[in-house]
Amino acid sequence: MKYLHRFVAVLVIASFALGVAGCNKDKALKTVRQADELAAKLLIYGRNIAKANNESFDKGNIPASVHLATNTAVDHYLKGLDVFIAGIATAKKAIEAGENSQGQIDILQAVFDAQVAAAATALVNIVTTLPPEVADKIQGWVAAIQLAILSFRALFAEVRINLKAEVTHA
Amino acid sequence: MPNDPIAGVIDHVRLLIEALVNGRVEARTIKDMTDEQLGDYIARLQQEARDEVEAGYRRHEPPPENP
Repeated sequence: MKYLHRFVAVLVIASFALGVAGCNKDKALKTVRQADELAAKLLIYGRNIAKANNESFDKGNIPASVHLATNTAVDHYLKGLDVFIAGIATAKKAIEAGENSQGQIDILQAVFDAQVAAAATALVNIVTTLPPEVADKIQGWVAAIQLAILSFRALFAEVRINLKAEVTHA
Repeated sequence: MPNDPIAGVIDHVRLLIEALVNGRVEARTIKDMTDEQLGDYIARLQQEARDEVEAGYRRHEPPPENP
């Protein structure tokens, strides 16, 4: 009887641990989906800025130096996003395969900070290098990119807190 | 450059603001996509963005010499 109780206790603990692991996995996969959505938004902005920059240059609004500098900044920004999007796909596969969700989210955030955030900031700096009389008119655009970066950081922070809370409760 | 450089810069800013507004409208459709649709959409966006940047670089290439 004593052994049966122990066996049941082990089963209860194991099922609870597996339940928490499943929950962590679901949350991490939800984060991966949100990261994909935000990456798509950042891609839309990048593509549209590149297009607007080309159009503006064709109309003679900006000199070649400004056009080339902006185009190069968008190029770096897109290359950073490419690395980040590849990182999302890798994280998704790893989480689905049962690897440590927290670790994957940490890696994803590190990739985002190293590859995307810096390039986005550089792009914003290039575009805001305009005559002061018009610089304030593009604040909305600058704010949108900055908001997207903050959204990413908030998303990662929230998931990290949730995952840690679950591990603590377990 | 246009005759009025300030008008040119204002037009440039207008184009950037349009890029932002259109981007926001387009971004609203993302939420309803399935994971597969979103994957395809991201791949398409990457290609479109890359094409725009390459087109931008081509504007700075020297014109081909006449034979």
